[in-house]
Amino acid sequence: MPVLSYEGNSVTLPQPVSVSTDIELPFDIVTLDDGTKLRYDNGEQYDKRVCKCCFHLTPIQQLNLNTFLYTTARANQLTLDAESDGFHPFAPDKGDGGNFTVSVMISGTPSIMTFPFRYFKCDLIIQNTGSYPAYSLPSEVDEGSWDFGTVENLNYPQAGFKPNMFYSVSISHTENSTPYYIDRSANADYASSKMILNCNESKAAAVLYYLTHTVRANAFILDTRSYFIIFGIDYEDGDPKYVIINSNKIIVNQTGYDNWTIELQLAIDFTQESR
Amino acid sequence: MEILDLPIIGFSVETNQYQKETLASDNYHYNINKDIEISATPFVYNQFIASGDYSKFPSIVSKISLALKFSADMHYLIGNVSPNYYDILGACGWGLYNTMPESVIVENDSPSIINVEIGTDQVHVFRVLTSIGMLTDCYYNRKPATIEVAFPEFDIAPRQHVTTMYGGMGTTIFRGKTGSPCSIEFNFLGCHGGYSTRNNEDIIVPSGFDTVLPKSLMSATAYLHNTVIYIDDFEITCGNVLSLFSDIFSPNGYNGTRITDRFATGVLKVHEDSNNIETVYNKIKNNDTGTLTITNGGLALHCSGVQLKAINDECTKYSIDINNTMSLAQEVI
Repeated sequence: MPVLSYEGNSVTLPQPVSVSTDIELPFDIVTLDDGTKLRYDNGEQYDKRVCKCCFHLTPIQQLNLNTFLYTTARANQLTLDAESDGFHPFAPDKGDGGNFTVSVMISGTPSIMTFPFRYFKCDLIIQNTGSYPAYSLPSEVDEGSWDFGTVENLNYPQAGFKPNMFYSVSISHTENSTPYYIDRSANADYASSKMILNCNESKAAAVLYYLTHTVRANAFILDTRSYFIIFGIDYEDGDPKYVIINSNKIIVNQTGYDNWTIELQLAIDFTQESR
Repeated sequence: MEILDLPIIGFSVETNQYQKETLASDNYHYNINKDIEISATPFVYNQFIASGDYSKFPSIVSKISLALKFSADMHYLIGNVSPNYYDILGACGWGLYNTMPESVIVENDSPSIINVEIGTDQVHVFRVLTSIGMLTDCYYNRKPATIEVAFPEFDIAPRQHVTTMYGGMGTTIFRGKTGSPCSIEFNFLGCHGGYSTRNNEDIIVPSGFDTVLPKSLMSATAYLHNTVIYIDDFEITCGNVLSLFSDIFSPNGYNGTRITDRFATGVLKVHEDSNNIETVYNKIKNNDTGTLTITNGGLALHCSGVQLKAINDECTKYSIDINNTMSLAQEVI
């Protein structure tokens, strides 16, 4: 059971009923005039991880939590101990045990429900504000055949890929429908793709550690195998591609026992790949 | 050629998960040949194009999955060796471990029903891993299996007709009915590995079977909420949620099955005189959790976190929810 504590006072919560974590990466992404994208990484110490989780609390538990947050430890940093019980507040690569330094806010005003009967639905926003407790990644359990950088044997994303091929050609039409093409050259074309990875805990931890610790704003090699068509058919030659993270946010959801989703956006790194 | 309805089951947990295993004779040592059902399900996309009288074009067959169902009678350990069907439990989210849950008492196999507590290393115990709360232990949730069902021909040189599943995981139902052995029904879901025929010189002959006879459910003792109840029969469903994961790269469109959740439930049929409606009502109303233990001649099925869910008018049928923890203990004989 997760325990929030402050200067010798603590409150114990039940296990959350839903957990989502936003990983905000401190990347400055700049698109140059020719379409080339440059990235600057401010560094891992500027990563932000925010946990949005929901608890079902009895009236007594809700009152105790309110008293703790807004009287006992009002406006102070807290310690969160997830007690190695499966609740990973800041994604599986940061573990579920040890003491996290956090700030906690209740989102809105919890309301009592009839289903479950006489329980409050309490949404918390928990942000990590200190260094993370030591955690060893779990041994990887293979579950597919897709290689994601150096993390091997992942599942095919069950919702597929949403490629976005951008051609830097636009058309202006005069009143008599004469077209004028503005072509910034193929150098300004790019291709990105959104995807939701479906992983077990070990693979989710490995992927997130790889993305947020190992590669970050740098390019890594992605297996773009037959029929995956990750970045659109123009870029489907079957060869692995150098890719980069193309957004500042990765959203991690725990969807069930040993099931995680990771929402992210990747783009082909055209500094290393030909168009 | 006539094909006999006498299939045998071949089973192997996959060394490389979600990759088909090649089975041998020692993978066929299961005395399971009843209630076998095979069901292949192609995922068919029907094309309706508004261009003809009936707007129907040839359909597109894509993903093909396979479901298998079969049952095993529950019997004792042989010496200190697990029954062969324990392997199959491994692909249903059960994990082998060698310590006894404190609350499990394994009954001695004698008519006098003497309860004997068995020491730690003397028995093998299976326990369903909790579906919520043990997230760090992925291992037992990832034991997909290759399963074959082989039907023999009736001939002087019979062949075997084989249906294969790979990347399969399953769920289990434990059943007990007075007068019959307790049984485990296995329901597997996985990738369709195809149909094949083994020529006579290549047919696989099982290496051997368990020889212990299963005991009938005759002197079972059941405790619910630490109260003795007298049961006519029971059914405990593990309720694993089997999710078949797609893979567009895979020839049949599926990569394999994972257990993604669990809703364990059960039904107990009890004698009327063992009930107290007021007590039962209060247990339901108060969200009381208890334990259920059923012992039957050396077998013990134990469930913790049991909650009463419903009871019928005559107070002879309890529906129960089980908070994901079950164990099956067997006495060494």
